[in-house]
Amino acid sequence: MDILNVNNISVNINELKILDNISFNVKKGEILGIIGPNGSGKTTLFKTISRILKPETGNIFLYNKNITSYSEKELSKLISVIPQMINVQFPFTVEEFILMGRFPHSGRYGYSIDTDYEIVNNVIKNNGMDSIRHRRINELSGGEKQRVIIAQGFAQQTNLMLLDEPTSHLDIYYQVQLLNLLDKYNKECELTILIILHDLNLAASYCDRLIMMKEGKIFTQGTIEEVLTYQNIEAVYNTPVIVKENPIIHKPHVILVTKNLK
Amino acid sequence: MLNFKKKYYFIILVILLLVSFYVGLLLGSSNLSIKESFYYLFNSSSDDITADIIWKIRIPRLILGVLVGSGLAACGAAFQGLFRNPLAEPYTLGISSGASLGVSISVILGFSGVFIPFYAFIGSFISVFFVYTLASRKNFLNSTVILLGVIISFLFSSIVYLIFSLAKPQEVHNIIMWLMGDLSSANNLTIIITAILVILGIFTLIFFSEDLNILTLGDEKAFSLGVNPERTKRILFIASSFITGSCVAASGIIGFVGIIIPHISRKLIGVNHRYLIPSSALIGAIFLVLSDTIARIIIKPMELPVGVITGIIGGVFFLSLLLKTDSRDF
Repeated sequence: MDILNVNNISVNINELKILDNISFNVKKGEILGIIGPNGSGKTTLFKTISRILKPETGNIFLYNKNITSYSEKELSKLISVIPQMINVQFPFTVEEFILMGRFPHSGRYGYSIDTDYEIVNNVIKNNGMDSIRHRRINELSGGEKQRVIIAQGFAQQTNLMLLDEPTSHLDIYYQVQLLNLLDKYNKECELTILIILHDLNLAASYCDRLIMMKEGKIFTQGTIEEVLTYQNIEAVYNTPVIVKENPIIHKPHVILVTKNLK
Repeated sequence: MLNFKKKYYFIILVILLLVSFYVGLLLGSSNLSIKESFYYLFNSSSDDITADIIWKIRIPRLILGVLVGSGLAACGAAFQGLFRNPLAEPYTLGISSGASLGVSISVILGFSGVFIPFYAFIGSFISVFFVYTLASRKNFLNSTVILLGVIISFLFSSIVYLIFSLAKPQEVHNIIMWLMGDLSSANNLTIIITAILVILGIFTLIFFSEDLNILTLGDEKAFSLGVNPERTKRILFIASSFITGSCVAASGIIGFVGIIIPHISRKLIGVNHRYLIPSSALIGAIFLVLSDTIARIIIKPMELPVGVITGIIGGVFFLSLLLKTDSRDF
């Protein structure tokens, strides 16, 4: 079953075509990765799906209903978005911050102790954040902060989560920990995930399918094996690579050919 | 959820406010004893001069102090959240200069005291409108807003000076007296209008305080949590402008309350606006009532404008804060 259908969308920003006739579907319960070089339109695609940007042409259907027909509140109960850059200037406590994820459900009349606090307590427990729940978010390390930001998305309890390069500033420990966490929610809570990743090998390990973008168009989409071939990667990234098989997970593994060995 | 600690915190603030109100009632050009104060408070029918001082001078003035102090502090907290800039407050955003210009023009046109608050209100609204439209065109870049406020202040003050140089000495004196900020000049009608606008405004800010929390995470995140950033900012901005406009109209220019009180409040209760806004309002009321009491007794039998007191306390406090910590911290 499809959760999301993106049909022929094109987006212009300042009369420059950023997205050109993009179409794809997101199936319920999958992890769909989006890869592509900088400036290929990945973030713009996310902003269009979360309705911050309006497409020139084409339309987007969420549960077979055009996203323009949802109210802001309804949409925020169905899609959570973890943007690339989120600068938390105000030192909220971890608990206060995660609680804000309940806003679409309870809103300005206050959070309920039975449901909202209960859900936040579970999120905190499941993510091993008990020790930091009263810490201020600006005192946390980059990796911990990113985990808290994603925990807020879990508290939102949506069916679909969009993540824009959630691992980009993290060390390998936090990269793997964070993606394992997303994988767990994907399996246990049937959370459908649409994720932009720069690291092709992480994308190969965690995603069910991939969309590869180039210059505002979808270059190719399909299974990991179909997308991550050295021909595709060299054509899109303009960088020579070798693709081998990862001996443990038996997925393609991309090795960069550094220095001028040509 | 209001846990015990927070409940006690607010109870203590309310008690402190009542105490400072009472202290303000006792002290003045002639001090009252506690016994006298009780007699006059509960026998409002007696009409000697002391009863008049209490009911016609001190109590209206204290009420105005509570309203203006709480209004300016709550707006300061809201503006700082809205622009994600710890220096944002009604005055750094150029609102006071708009009010000054409004008052200067009204004095020049020969309108008497009754109309001054009205012109101050219009003036502050015009400058808010300027800052808001220019800032939203620049997409609310947070440092740009303060820059805009400074530029508008400069522009409007220059026009005020232009008016000074053309006006008669008596008119200039009237304008300057108003500019210094004073709680004594307001009449009952002004106090009632101020009360309505400030109370409605603060309740609006409290009602939207969780929206404001979410806005501090940035427009994109706000959008994905179901908060329309533009619409919410507009509501908060209009509410804050009504509060500021009515405070400035009733009392003239009382600086720094909007900066220092939210700062102290954040240190005490944290940054969650659901608690920060009511806490700022209460501390602001306490601060202004006490400052005004100091202004009334420090050079007895004369009085200082309260703006001078808050300006000096606020300035010293703020300077020490700037030297001690990074000013971008909340």
